[in-house]
Amino acid sequence: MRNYLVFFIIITIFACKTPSGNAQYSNHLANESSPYLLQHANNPVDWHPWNKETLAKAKAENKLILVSVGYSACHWCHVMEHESFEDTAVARIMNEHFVNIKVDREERPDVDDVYMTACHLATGRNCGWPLNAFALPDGRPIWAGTYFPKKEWIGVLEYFIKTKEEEPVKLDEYATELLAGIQQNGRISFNGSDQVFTQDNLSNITANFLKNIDFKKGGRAGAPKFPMPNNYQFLLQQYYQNGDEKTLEAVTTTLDKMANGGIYDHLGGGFARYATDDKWKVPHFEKMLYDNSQLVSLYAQAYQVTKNPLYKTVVEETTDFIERELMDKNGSFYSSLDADSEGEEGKFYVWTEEELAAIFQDDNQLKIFSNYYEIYKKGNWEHTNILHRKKSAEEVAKISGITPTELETIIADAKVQLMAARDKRVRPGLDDKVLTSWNALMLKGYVDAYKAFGDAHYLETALNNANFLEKEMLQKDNRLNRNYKDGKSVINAFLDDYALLADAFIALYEVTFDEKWLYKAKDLVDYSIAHFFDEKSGMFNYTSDLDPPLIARKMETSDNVIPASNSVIAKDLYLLGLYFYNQDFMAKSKQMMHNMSSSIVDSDQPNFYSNWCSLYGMMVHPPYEVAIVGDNYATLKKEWQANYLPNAILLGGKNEGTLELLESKLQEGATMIYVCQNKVCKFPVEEVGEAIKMLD
Amino acid sequence: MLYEKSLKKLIKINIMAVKKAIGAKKISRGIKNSFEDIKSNLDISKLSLADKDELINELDKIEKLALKMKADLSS
Repeated sequence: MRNYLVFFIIITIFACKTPSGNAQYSNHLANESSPYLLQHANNPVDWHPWNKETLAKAKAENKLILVSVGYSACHWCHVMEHESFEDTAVARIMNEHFVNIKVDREERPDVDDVYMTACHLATGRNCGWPLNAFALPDGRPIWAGTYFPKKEWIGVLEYFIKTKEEEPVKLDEYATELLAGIQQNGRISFNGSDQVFTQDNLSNITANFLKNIDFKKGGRAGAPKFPMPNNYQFLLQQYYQNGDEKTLEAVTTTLDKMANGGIYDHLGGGFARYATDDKWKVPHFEKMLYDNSQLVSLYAQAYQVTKNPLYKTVVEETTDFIERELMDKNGSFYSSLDADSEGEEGKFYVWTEEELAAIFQDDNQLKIFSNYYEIYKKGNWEHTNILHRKKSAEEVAKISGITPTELETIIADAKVQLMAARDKRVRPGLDDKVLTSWNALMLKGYVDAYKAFGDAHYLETALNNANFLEKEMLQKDNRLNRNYKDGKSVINAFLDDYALLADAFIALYEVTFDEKWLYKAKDLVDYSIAHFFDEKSGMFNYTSDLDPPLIARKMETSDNVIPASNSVIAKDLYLLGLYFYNQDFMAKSKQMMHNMSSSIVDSDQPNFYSNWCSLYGMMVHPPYEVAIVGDNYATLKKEWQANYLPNAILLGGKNEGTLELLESKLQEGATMIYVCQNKVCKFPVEEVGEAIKMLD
Repeated sequence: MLYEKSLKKLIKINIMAVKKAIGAKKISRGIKNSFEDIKSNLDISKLSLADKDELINELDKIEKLALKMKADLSS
């Protein structure tokens, strides 16, 4: 890859001047449904969507392909669009020499992954978005970069035009080298050694996890700080197993700091995607469904463990935000809100002291509010203020000479006034496409909120969403659609859609005992085995064998902010293996975990495999099978679920149903709780408290 | 009586579980033989709800076997 570093340096020093234009144009994105693609539909650049016609055009015209990838809420994607893609002179160069393809990474993570890997390999560093990749007419990438100011972008374009004309062989050599790297990247090999999952290894993993935690400020040490909910779900699971207070402290410090930081929307609820600083104070303001859904789960579970009322408030306010701003009346959830409004990042969310003074018209309220949310005349960020908290309510009440109850009333009243004022502002752009995988995460978030708080509204919202996904996204042959907008679904689902929806349906079964959801989860996993499974490695590909192949068939194995589709489906296989007593599912799950073990057990950074780590925990401490059977099952189920019990799967109903695990468990005139392991049960009891004591 | 009924039911459930596990996995001959001994000497339908001690004794045998089986599988 050394060639690429030299290459990268050469092209980034190119620069030239060009005039800009403002004419209105229409390109090949006009009929797309993705809001991100539609944002570019009137660029003078002749953008095409990613499809076989576009790829055929590049081959027919023997033109280089520019694959430009971004997403609706991406600030720098908007900047580059404004600077370069709306510029007629830039567009002229791009249109004359390239076939230009715009990709919404949220719709096509498979395409994004291939060219993002090319960027990592070509530049020798981590890349982000916008991602701009150059490829030969056959789609093989030759180089990729991220954001470029207009002058540099033109230099890059001209470099490739010149190189294609003068040294086409050189480009082919780059493509060959890069393709080999992409095809190898992320592939996991079958591990044929004996499978061993030990408590010692699990303890080491947890210890390495904790080494990376910032116990003062929460999260991982340094900046920027991303919420990474799955990391803390693993630590909660471990706290349950090991009872180590330091493990719990890693979770609670992080959750407290996030909830009090500027990353949290103190007026409207919900979290921004990440904080740019190490104190969670300055958010990158976009709000994503995938973060908020998983944070609802995490805060709900942390509430089960700690009973901290702050966590309950966060769940309530965040679900309010979701329902107010990201939920459609058909029960589906939209994808995200932009960071920008009126061309400025965060403008919708920040306040000057003058603005606050005009709204409150009460100096005392302003003073108390400013104390509470660290508001300053000169601003706490770029001459304006991000609401965040450093002082406790008790401290602020003391400073203000009022009681905590009076403070609570004043702040609540102030928040109502500010929300009313904020509602009059120009809103950030909404990406209203519906994605199966992200909806599945939110569906699970509502299930987890229902478990923790028992509020029927959470369950009703989860069921509405599940019914939408079943009706609109799931086909009769169990194939899934990935996207939906205005009644249209045009993209076949990827592994994350199948894995996360199966996971959500399993969770929905646990709170409803409606076997339909469990069977649907199994159907999705069966379909995934049929169309995504790689027999050679024992892992799953990200794309279906029914989809047109890309230049490389990739596997997703590292847990990022969204857990890897392979780790999620490995967990699905494990849980469904328990529910259905399916030895093949169990064996597949264990082999996948075994394949990944060496990467995780010896890693200094197991946080990149946090969902795998949770599965490892389940392999070391196999979950109990807990069956509640009898007329009074609903009451006992609800009581059981209010507790955080990660080492148990739950099943049951009024009758024995069709699951083998429920066979012979109905006793006339009684509702019994069976605690079983490997299907062998302990003496059944009638009280939830007694059953919980039977768990190790 | 609920307690005795539960005991009897549990013997049945746990025998089923062991039988299923033996059918599905590689279990040592010793455990298989123990299981056959228990099965051949036990007719669940004839177990009396009035004889609590016998019920507990039978259940205990199955639980011990299940524990051995678990150890056997994980070794």
